[in-house]
Amino acid sequence: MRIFKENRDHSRLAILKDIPVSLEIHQGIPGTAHFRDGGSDQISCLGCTVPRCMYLSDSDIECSHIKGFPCDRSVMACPVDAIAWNDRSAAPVIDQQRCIRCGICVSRCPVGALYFSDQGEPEVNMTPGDSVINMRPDQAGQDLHACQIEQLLQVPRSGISLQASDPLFETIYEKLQRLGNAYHNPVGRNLLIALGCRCAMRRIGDVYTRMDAVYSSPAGSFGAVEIEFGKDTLDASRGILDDIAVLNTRYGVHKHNNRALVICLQLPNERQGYWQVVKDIRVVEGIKLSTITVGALMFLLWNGCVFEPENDRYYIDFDNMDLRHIICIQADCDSIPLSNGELGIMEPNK
Amino acid sequence: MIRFRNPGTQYSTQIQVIKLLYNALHDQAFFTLDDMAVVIAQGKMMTAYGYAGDDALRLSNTDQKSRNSAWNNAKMYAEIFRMLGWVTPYHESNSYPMVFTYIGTHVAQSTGDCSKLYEQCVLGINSPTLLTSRMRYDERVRFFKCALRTFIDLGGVMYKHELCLGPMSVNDEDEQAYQDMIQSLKSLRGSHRRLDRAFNALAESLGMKPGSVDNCTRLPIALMKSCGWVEDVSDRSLYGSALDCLQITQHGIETYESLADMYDLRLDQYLRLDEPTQQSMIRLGIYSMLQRAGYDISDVQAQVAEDRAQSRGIIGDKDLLFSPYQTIRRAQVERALGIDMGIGLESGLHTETFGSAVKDREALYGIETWSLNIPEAASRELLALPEDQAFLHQVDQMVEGGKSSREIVDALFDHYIDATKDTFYPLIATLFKIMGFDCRFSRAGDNGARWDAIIDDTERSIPIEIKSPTEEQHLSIKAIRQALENKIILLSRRTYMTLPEVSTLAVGYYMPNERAEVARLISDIRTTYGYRVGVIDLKSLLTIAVSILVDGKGFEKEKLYTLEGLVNADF
Repeated sequence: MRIFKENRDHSRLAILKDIPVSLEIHQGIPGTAHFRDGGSDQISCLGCTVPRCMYLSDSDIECSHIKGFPCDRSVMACPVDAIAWNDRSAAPVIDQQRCIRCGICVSRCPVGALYFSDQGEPEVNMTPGDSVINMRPDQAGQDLHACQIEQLLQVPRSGISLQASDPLFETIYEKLQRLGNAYHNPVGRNLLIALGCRCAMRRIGDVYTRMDAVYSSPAGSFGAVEIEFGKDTLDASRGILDDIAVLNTRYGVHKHNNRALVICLQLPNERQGYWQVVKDIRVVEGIKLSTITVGALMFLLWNGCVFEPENDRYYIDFDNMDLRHIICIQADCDSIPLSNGELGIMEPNK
Repeated sequence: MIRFRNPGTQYSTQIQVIKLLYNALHDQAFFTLDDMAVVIAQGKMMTAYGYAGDDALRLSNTDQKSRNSAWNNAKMYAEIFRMLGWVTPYHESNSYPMVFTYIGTHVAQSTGDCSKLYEQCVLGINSPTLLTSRMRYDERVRFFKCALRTFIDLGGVMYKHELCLGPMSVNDEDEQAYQDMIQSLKSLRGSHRRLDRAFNALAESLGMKPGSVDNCTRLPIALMKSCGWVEDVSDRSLYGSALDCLQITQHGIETYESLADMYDLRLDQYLRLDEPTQQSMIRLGIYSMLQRAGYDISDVQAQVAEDRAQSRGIIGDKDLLFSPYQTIRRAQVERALGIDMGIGLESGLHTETFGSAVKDREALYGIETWSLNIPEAASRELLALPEDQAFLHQVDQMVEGGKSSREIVDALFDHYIDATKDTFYPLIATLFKIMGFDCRFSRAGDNGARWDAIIDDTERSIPIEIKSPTEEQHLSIKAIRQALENKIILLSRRTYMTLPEVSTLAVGYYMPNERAEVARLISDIRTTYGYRVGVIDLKSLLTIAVSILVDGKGFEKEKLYTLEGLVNADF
């Protein structure tokens, strides 16, 4: 029986003449690769056979701590389906209307060919540089390409892919607030994966798996995740207690080994019950829930950070609702160019 | 009207499941629903009662197969996959077992998201077909093509019920019938009442409830959204008030424009063709679907050219819109393609081989029953509020009217079916007070107290989470979560004195529907945090209170402090 191949498999394939020693990422220009011989180049899209900007790996979407977790198997890297493959150019193409500027695709491009333009839109560098050569997309070419991608992932990256600002986040949040429910968990899951975690997300329609996701961080922390885009963050803290109990009894994860995480669109207002309840949970149970916003996760990603909750770094409660200070330290920056209270991203809005 | 079933899964899950099934079962000559159920469960693509894999199969394994949730889940996927032309019956005469189709194989082996092929399969849905002879409708329509055209002809926005009255109920091969349908829909616009009347009349003519007709729109809307043809929009221009409508996207418009240029081959016309032309049409149909979906079919260009020559008298130079697997039986399709999908190993998986754990599951949600045999008088000193007095008066009146205790309970239970929290919370507090517990309810707007009521005790206070029947008739997982939160808050803030081992309660009108899940969560909470969560319904509380008031008999009150799980009381 003849099985036809998708045209994408017949794309052009580029490989590098040499593996760079470092990669510099800045907004407005494609990533700059620096080579051993002192030269540098802005590498164009390699036309990957399995483009990392579009697809996560199977291991990314599973959580090694609990192998039997019934997770969604979707490996689409873009949480809002804004990226597709253009057969004609043999490169990814971004639907700017759908794109939420999260930067996941940008962060996953192994050569920085996907970058944020000055306008903050992801763009693909298609101008061939001196450092790449085109190959036939046969098996040998594909093997060499795959090997190079593995090497490229070890290349240190520096720089900030997108500069945060109030207007930028206002645009992003306007889009996020319009997203349908089905996109909420993928936004949370894929951001965590882009930030170095493994994250398994509950399948849509699975009413028996109550947590939205489980994750394990680069340093091995594990936890349940509740993702809350709505106003009622109390649901999230209640849900987390439920998740911790379920993971304890059904998967053997002790409550004190569960670094549970609430990802919310905006931090709850100061007067909302959430903050006090998070504190109550710490006082009574000794469990420190991490709380982080979607905007803060994006900021970490643009700044080349990982999500690592060691030492309960992201624990904030009634006595300290300030995420800004924590993110600032992690991103190694003096300040975050975002107004105080802006959209409740770094501190409560009210 | 076309009755689209409501399989309730979404695009990405469908793709994941077909890939899983194909990987596990493609070596078999055919596969059964049992094969599917086992593979889906073991692939962790379904869960039952919080468990995945073999445990899910054991927990689903009931005596009656039709109640086996793993098997029903497989059946649901089988239906949608057959509709999309990914699987098809192995035999000519029976729906099951099934085989993968040539198109289904491409979907399953796709390395991408195969959204374009998915779109082709959605466009392939048409009626009538040789596969759907027992359908309860006789519309002759390629629904999604017709729906896109209808959107465009109606200005781009439609309300879901217009789909039922329009493209789901038209013969789109008859241009006049199509135009009449458009005029009919236009004539409804401007008056929501007019639309409702027409929709209800349609439901009546079909012998269906309006809600069931409405449900028939779920699948087509989900498929159109998955293909990116329509999106949600709030619109007040169509019927005067704001309605959640659907708006065709640019991609939807472009899709219809490309379809309009194609030769749309339907079953009747196909059946009138001679066999060589039928075979050409099958090959052209399959290959053009794959080509439009971005597959490189250059290997069969010579065959395609030959088939185009064979069918040129009918389709001319047009592209062919014809999905053989969604229209005719597989034997004809495979003969034309020169393949046989029904060769391979024997089907080997059976859900029955997974020993049933249904009894274990059911044992989880056993409900304890409290006996009412301890002499007790109502604690009238606690019943000082006007709400308390009103309740006592209500009971006294019924006693004077000659009603028995059971009749009083039934009457009161019915009376409070529509109670809002303003009535229900005080009622629950009154009932506990009759039992001798100093119970206080939280007034509306009191955000400081997270619990809805509390039994105030010098050292063993009990927080109570209450759900009035207008909030939710059956208690749910949500109430249990809130009961746990109440306990933690009380221990942390010490507003009232309590001890960790004292219960926290959830009270509602009815016991939970999802008893296994609730019971399991209560058990999980006890194991993890050490707290007891007790659940009582209104009827039990009324029974205890009326028993005390009328018969002078109560229950062993100490049990309330250590209550864990679901409990009821009976005379």
